[in-house]
Amino acid sequence: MLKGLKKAALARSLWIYHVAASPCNNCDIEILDLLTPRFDVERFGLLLAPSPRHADLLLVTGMVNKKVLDRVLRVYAQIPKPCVVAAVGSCAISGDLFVDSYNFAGPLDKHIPVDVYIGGCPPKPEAMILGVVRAIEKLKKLKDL
Amino acid sequence: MAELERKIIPIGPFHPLQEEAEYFKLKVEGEKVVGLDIQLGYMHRGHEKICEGKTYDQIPFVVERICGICSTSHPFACVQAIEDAAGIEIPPRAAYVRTIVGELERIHSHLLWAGLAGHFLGYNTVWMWAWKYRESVLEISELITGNRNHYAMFKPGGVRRDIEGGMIPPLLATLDELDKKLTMLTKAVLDDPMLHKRLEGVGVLTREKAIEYSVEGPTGRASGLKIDVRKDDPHAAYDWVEWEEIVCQEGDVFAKTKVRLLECLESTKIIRQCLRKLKDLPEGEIDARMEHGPDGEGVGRYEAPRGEVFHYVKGDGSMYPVRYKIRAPSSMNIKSNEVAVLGGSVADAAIILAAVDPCYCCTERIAAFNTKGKFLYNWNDLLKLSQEKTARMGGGS
Amino acid sequence: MNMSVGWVFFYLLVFPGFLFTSVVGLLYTWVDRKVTARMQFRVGPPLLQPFYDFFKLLGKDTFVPEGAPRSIFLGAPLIGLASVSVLSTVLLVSNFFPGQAFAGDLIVVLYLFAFVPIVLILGASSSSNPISALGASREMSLYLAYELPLLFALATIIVKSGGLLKIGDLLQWQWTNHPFLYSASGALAFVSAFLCMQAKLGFVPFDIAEAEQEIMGGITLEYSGPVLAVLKLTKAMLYFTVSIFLTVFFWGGFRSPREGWYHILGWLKPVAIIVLIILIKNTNPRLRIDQALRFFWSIVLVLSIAGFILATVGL
Ligand code: SF4
Repeated sequence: MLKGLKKAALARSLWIYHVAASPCNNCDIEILDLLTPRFDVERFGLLLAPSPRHADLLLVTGMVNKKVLDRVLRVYAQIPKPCVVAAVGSCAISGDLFVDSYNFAGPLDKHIPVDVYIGGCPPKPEAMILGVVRAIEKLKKLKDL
Repeated sequence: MAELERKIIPIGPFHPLQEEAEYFKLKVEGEKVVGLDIQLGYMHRGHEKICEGKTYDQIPFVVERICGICSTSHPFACVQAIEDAAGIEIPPRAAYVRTIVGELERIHSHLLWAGLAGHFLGYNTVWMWAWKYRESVLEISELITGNRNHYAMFKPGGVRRDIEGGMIPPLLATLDELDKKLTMLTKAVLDDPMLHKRLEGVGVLTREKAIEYSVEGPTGRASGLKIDVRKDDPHAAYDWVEWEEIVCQEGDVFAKTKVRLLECLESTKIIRQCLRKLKDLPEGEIDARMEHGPDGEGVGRYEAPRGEVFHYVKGDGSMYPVRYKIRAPSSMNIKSNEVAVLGGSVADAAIILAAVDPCYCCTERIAAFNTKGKFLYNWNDLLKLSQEKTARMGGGS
Repeated sequence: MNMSVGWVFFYLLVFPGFLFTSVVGLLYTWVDRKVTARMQFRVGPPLLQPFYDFFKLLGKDTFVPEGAPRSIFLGAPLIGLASVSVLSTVLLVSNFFPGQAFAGDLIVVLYLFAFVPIVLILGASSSSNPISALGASREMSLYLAYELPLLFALATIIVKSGGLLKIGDLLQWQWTNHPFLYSASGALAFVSAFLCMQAKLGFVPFDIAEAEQEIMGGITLEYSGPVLAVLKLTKAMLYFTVSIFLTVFFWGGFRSPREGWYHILGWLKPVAIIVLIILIKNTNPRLRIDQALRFFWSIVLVLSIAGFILATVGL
């Protein structure tokens, strides 16, 4: 029962922490756009958290470069588990056109476990909402929470 | 009173103040800021090198992804540089379309800034309000280009999509609507007594300092510098339309806000004129063909929402450039924070750092790492290196 | 003092103490978020959102930052929670059950109110994070600034009522005469107390200690999981308590025996107060700490002293 309650509560109240791992900003802007009147994800209990310690959902954007990688790992370590990680945008998923870059540290899922992939360059806010819904579904399926 | 302890307040690399990763070290005594250390490099992606491995047709897409907010400015400057090197004239239709897309981007970028500035001040109502109106700008962009951002409109020699005659009247109507909204927002923000209190006299960048730091764009125009590439070095359709350059003298954050908001209104003016002229123009070519890669050098300048973007290209006649160089306005503007934040409080530092509308992903062209990802050189070191090299080369020749 | 210990516990833990206050407090935060959203052209969260948030936080890990003394870091929020529970009990009991001689006077209320910022400061400065420490120092200076006007505002009503201190007596006085708010001095005192309470709650324009965009949530920065849940709950309960505080001391309470069925309308008083708080919160930018301090040390202080002087001459 308790577990069910915990899970139900978590699924309805995901707080977002967003990490810009050398993106082009566009993905980030679209994430912020989610909070604004047209999309208003607060309807589903999503909020922007000021500190990784308060977060449940980590959104990582951008091709992870060598310098920022260390920071991304640190932020990931600071998030209280259980949490969900989403790779937002082609950059975070595969590197986009930056695969050729000398500063590319490899796609995000090479470094931290990624739960949902939200494709697009940038993904439309609608796509991001879909991604979050998928994340919630995934959370609900988790056995040990 | 005992002397206050000097502390370092880190802003970043991940901080709700910026959506980008950036590292500022504020040196503070109590609440007073006594120094600022800027560390760049978290966003470096090596664009210049990537560009050298792409054909001229692909480069606009690469530079578009430098920055998502000014995702037209870079291609704009880029195609101009390539056209300059190849000596191509673009058809007038393309010039108008380019101008329209560029100005749309300016409006959305300035609104975005206004909203974020409100957010930084804890004034979320302004944030929501500005971004609500920004959505309608994005809608127009989507109508014209097919994308909310990253328009992929530009190519060397012209544009990829035309604005057809049938689209123009509804666009004009939407624009009128937008104009009303913008006027309302501008009035509300500029007349808010609390905002006056909070922003006036904060983070002043004097005219002298502005010149010394060579700031650009709205940051410079708020400090009384009359610089705008659109006026100084007109390109595309900018000297075929009438508009005004907004200049303020105060140099504080409020002036920067004012310049940006009023510029939005100028931009709608430009778009409207362009659309009308486009309607009168006969249907026709929207691009000029580029037969072979340029042989020689070319530069492109464009007034991005944040200031002048500068692109340089050198070709050898093949389809690949041999050197590509980008300079974004924020690399000049961010530096000016050094003087603007001094003596203010930590609370002000937040808004001052944001007030130049910094765009780090545009800026970071320079970073050097060893294989473990540790910083080898910082900006100043590199500057020194380059100076030394220049001196050596000068001596050699 | 003829109450059994059992009743005291019931009052403290269930009604109108901890449980009641926390449920209403969380609902208050929902109202807050919903009204805020409507003002920002948004839809806003569902009714049970604050409860989801609370339970979710309970189920997560807690980090104790390196170098922070565990006992202070984790204990401080609990003390805060306890003091708010007692505070709300004291305030509510004397209004719900006017006959009960529940110990509680203005001095106790003041002390308990002071507890909340103090434990927050304690917890935040124990975390050895420079940003939290900055938040703590801001909270401290703000606290010092608004405490004096608050004292004057309360002194005003004591003078007005002819030296009464007990909450029950003060309410009785208001029922037999008129709510303090309806006199010149009382109105001034109310306005200054109201502004002090806005600062106490840490809301815009006085959310300087928690400024999310400047110092990343300041004093709550290092907290996570259940402890954060406790902090949020404390905040929510304080929200409710503040509105009750203002109603009880200045507006004749939410329930008066004289008014019969009409007292249901009395519950609108605290609601009106929070709506006012939310309005102020959403139409202002955050002040700088020096501006806020100047505001309290000059304007609010002068207002409250003026109220006090008016009260001494009987207005
Ligand atoms: S996926 Fe596209 S929009 Fe997102 S950060 Fe990468 S380049 Fe920018």
